[in-house]
Amino acid sequence: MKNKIFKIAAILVPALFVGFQAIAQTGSNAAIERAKLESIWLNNTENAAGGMIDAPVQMANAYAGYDYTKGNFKPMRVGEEIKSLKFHTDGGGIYKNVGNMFIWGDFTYTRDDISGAKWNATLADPTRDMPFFVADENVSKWKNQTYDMSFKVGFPRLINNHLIFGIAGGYQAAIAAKQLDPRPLTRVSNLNVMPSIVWEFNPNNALGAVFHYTSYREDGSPENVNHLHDQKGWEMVAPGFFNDGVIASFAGINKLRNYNANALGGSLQYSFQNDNFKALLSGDYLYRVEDVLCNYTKPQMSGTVKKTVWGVNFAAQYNATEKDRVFFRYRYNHNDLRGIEYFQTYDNTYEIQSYITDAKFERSKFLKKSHNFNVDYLIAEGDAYTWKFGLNAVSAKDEFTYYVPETHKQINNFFFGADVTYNLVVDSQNAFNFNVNAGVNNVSKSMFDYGGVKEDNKAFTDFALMDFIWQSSDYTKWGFNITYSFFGIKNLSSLFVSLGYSNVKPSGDNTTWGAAVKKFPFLSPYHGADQEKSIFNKRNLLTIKVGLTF
Amino acid sequence: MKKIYTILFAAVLSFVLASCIDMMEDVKDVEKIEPISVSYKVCAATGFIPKGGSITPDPNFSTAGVEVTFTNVKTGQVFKGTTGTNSIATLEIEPGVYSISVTGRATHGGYQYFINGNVPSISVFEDVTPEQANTDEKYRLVVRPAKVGSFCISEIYYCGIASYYFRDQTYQFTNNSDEVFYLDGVCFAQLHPNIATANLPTWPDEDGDGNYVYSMMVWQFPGTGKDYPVQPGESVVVAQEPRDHRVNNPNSYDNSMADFQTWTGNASRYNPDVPNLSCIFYTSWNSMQWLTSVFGAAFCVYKAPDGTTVDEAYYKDPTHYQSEVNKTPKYAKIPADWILDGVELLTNMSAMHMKRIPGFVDAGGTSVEATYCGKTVSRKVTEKRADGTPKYQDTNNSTDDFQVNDHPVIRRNGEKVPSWTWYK
Repeated sequence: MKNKIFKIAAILVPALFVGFQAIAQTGSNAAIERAKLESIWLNNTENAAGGMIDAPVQMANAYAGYDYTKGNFKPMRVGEEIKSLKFHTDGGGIYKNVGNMFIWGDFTYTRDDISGAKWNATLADPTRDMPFFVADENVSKWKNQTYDMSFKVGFPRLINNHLIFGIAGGYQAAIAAKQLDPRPLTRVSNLNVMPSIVWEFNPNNALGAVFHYTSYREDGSPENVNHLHDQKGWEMVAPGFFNDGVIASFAGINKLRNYNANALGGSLQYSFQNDNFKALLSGDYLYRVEDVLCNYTKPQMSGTVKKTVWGVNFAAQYNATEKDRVFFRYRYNHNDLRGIEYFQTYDNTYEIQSYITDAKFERSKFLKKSHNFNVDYLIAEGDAYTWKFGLNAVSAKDEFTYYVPETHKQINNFFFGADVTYNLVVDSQNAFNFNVNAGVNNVSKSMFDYGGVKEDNKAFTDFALMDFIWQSSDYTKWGFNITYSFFGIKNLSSLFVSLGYSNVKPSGDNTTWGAAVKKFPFLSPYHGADQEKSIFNKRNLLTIKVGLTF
Repeated sequence: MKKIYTILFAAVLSFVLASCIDMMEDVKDVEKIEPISVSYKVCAATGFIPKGGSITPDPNFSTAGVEVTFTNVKTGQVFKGTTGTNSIATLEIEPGVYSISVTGRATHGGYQYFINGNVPSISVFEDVTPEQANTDEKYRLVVRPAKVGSFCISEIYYCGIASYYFRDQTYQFTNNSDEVFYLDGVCFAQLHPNIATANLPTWPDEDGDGNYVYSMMVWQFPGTGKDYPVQPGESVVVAQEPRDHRVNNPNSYDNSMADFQTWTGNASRYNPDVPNLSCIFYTSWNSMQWLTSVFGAAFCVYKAPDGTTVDEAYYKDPTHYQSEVNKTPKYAKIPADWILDGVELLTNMSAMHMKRIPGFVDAGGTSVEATYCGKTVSRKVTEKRADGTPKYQDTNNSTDDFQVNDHPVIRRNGEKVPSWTWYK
């Protein structure tokens, strides 16, 4: 038994963190991409036990990367320029010497130098679903570091090879430091544990289940290093709803935001497969409650977020011939978030001296629904492919409601994209992979009826409204990626260098203030003078990677 | 050993799941917010108001036609209503925590009264019917009527200027009536607490409710009776340190022509030309300077009635000062009836629920909403006298009565200088 544990550890640890010691394979990047696409359980579920059914060959890769993102077509809180250094490795497969277990690990380190970010003085990731935070108006730099690691283990089959246990887990630690007053040092820890089970009726049919637990903590308090200048701050509770004041060394608004979330959920899966067809149907549900406190010693609530996410997936693979393979994926995603606000009074009685909750109400609702379609066709060649053609479409509906004063926002988007990849094997030592992709997004509905009283406040005009215009902009997107792989290094599958570029540009009638004012007359008081000025330009992403496959 | 690990693992797992489930249960059945209808009765009370005891409003003192304003302390949304002949105002509001202010005037016994009052923070989450308002004391807004005064605080420059310069704090007072006002013995008080806060002090029960305001620093104007007349439209300027501050900080201004200074003994911050005000009470002495909060303090001016002498000796008498419950610092007790005018300065206008002085002194609050920004608050001018001097708005509600100015100006609206000033 001890020997077995050592064997597992000996493989899991390297697989988790580097993957260098994994047994050498002939896999190129294209081979890894195809293997992942064909692993229907791993690619579409959290079920680690399902890895035993997919039974992927051992594969691993590691790379160092640099991403450069620039442009103002983005949400207000996201940086206008982001320079990211990244180290990533993932790898695993079926390991015969530990009882044919499936083991897979992933590690990513990211260091982001962000500049041109506004309206966030709390959150390490301002794009996450969290309406309660402290905002400021200063154009700021952030330096963020994230360590993200996860694993999946599928244990050997039990009960006449019918039962498989598995476990997946992940841990993310992040630190985010804003570089201009008011500046928080925000720390994040995010733990996920997902035990799973699969009952394989026969080689064709399997039923799986996953239990999901998440524990999330985030903590940040914007402080002023320069005490000579107090800063304006906003305690946000929803877009356009806030308490504004001064962020100062003492007095002023409540600065601290201490997030504490727990989530419980699960999913069910059914898969069918035969020689040339496999399909997986799954449904998942996650219920997450996140308390936001603004005082450590006297629990004062900023709010609570109650989030329910459920979805239905269908994935299928059809091998028309040994070379012609078609992949189809569909997911319906339903993300329902409710913002709960508290009414608390401070009981100054000597014995109590704490905040007492007089009442709490659900005050806001954020509902996101999306249908996601993907179809890929590839022409297989060896363990990789020569050509791959893909189509994808997303139909998304994003709604926000603040009950009293009555406010409603809705944006309906439809995105359609296509991509083509050609994997050119020049000779036994050299290969190129070329990918081009393009897409177009159309907004079929956008409305924002604001019923609040702070329509002339910057946190509404320059933040909530600007985010709304960004969300409701049509855009076009295109990009390419070129990867060169060299296979002539002993004991390695390949050394690769990759260059990618993507461009997102707003289109349609939202490109100037004049057009926006025409579409949204309520903007006129704020931006009537800037009719000819473009609201957003574009957003570019340049990606460079140097890495190895094993 | 294996058993211990199993038990330990089970215990940790149970603890994690139990706390997780507790957290989820807490918000499981939270109701959706809906608008509510509330009624409140405005009652006028005279005499001593006991702490938490039942108040007997004066039944002959009509409060009809008074405006009742509910300001949501979170959203800033304002709801207004007017009392009917039954003194009840009914409003449709959203549940929440409100600061309520009552503003109006009434005539009683041949005198004009301000009917101003406020409740800094009250939680309203359910409907309140007019019947409940009529019968339940909980839904009464008890207001202490205040006689319409003549001497008012007309401008305060308190926030300082970048970088971190606060020696130019200045206070201006104006005779807003049509009769001469005598400044002799008038007191100018900085009220406790120094910064607006939701955690208001708890005073001993013996002081009742709203019968006093409490001061940490009381300055007194000189004179023995009629030595310092202030004519209608004349103003008096008091400065922390009168001088041309532009020498120290080019962003500041010149207040060297102040009529009085509030000197605390720092030889390097003394203008020998300017008469000192007497400090007759202090909670803690700062010999550097008299610095009031750049976030906004609260102030009042008051005068004792004839026959009562207020001086340093007066505040040595333990019945004339008070300490918070379970605390030792002492604060001067100022009877509500003595107050001529008061102004509540807030850190920002969203902090109305943090008001520290009772509504009969100031039913609202005002703010420049930033520190070291060089702005001031001053009363709005409603009309001008024939001699060009201003008449200021004074409804006893500084939210309405004051405006924010970009820079301090001494006698910005053409007020005249008293004849007795030192520099004339």
